Amino acid sequence: MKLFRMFTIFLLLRPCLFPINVKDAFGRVHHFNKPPNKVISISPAVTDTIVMLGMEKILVGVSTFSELEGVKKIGGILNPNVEIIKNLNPEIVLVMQPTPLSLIKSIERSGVEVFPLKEPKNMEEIAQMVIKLGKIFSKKRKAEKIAENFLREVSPVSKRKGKAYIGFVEPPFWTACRGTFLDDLISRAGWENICEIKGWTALSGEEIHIKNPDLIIIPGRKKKKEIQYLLKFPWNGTSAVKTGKVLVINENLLLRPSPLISKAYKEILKVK
Amino acid sequence: MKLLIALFLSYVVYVLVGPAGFTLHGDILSYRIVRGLYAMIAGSALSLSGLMLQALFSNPLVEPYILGVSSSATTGSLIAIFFLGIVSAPLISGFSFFFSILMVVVLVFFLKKYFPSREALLLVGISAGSTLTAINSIIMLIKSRQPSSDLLFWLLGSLSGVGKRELLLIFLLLPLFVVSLFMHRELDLLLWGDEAFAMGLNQKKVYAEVLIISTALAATVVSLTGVIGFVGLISPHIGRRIFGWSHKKLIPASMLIGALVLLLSDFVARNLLSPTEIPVGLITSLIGAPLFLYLVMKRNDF
Repeated sequence: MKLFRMFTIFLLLRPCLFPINVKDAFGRVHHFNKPPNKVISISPAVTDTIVMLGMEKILVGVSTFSELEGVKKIGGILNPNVEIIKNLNPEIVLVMQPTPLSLIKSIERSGVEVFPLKEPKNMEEIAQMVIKLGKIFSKKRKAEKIAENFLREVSPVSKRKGKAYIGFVEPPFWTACRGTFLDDLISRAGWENICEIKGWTALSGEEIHIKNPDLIIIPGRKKKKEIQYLLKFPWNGTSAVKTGKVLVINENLLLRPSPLISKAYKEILKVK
Repeated sequence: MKLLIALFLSYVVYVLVGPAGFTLHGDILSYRIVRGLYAMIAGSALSLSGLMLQALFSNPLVEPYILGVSSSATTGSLIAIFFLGIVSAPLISGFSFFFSILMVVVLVFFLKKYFPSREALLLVGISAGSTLTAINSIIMLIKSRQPSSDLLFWLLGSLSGVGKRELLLIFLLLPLFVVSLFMHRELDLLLWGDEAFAMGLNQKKVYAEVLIISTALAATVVSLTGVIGFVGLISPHIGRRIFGWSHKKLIPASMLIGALVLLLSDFVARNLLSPTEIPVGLITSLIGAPLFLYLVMKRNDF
């Protein structure tokens, strides 16, 4: 009897265990017999998430832009070296859109399975990405906890604080507009994006000057470099520059859609 | 005269209408005034440079960047950004200017060595240019990050970073404009070929003068705005169609046409997809290439 009960429990638990099927960004179904333990991550955001899940030991290769030490660098995000990837013999390669399809094809042609993840467009989708990775690596509990914590950390504030610009201050002014995860980030913090079109774009200087942002958020590495542009058109004379509400946030933090972005959120919340 | 009026009217429209609409807002107006002036001077410099080089090589396909000035300017800025970690924008411009001038020095050296063969000079310029382009691609492949907006700026050419300081710098070109206005006789002679120099002009000196002035013009513009293509190629062609072959008229005419072409291109670049701004280099190529084809198909010169 006891044995029978254990067997029923095993049967009930079975859906949570392996083998599992997971859908990728293109809707293709990937079959996992067991959690993969040799993985290459081409996207720094995915790498950061895997580290958060405590799974960095399964990484055999990461992109050049990742800060992870002691792991083989396999090249840039758009130009990874297919030979090195093949040579590392991973069970799966994780990439994030917008990695070119041709690149995914050429890695797959070498006989390596590629799992493209959807590029998160807001904080919920970042949480979903964490849960999906947790599922693949059999870290469901931990992933759910991270996702939950993350969504609590970036929970929206109700106070409206004004208009903000988020993007580069050197020409051509690359701007994160509606429908990007950065747009969601600032709107949760109570700021309205001055750019009303979709996606990333090179906004014209006049448009920026007319919209007159109250806050400027810059992804950058060196504060000195970014500040010099603020003396010039279109930044000079904007309300943000006059009141000193300019944030330079490390680009490795700000431009990666991973749960770590909650750190950037905290910095943005500090601005009243 | 008609050209001058057309240029003036375009400038007025340029200053009054922009992505922010019709406005008399002080800051924006002064920005447009500076940017418009800048576009005109850069346009005439590129056009003049193209005209002189076309005469020097007696070849209609020559453009200001053919001798590798743009690639060496890009190399300069890449070295400054990636290897020396320089972040100040004027210093990066300075570096790219220094490198393109270095290119001119190399060219003058080869001019002396292979004189009087102009073809050798052309080949040296083209091969040095392609080598540097390859080196640039390698540097960018290794070092660049996404989205690397500062590189886009260099590769596509844009006037959006223009301020009063840049305007002052480009005013340094004005003496070169004046000098070149007096060089129409030499340019005419260049078209006649080597025999013309039997009449007593110092051939070597003319070659060197034309080479230095034209490449210095292009180098200055490139180091401030990035690579803006086709203006230097088509403007002299348009000039030739309207004013014929004599450089006495052709030099000022080409300069005005170059100014007009870049001003209008920048107007389109700013307004076409507003509030998104397109790099002006894309517009000049987009309009310039078909226009050039049209001119070639209707050709009765060269």
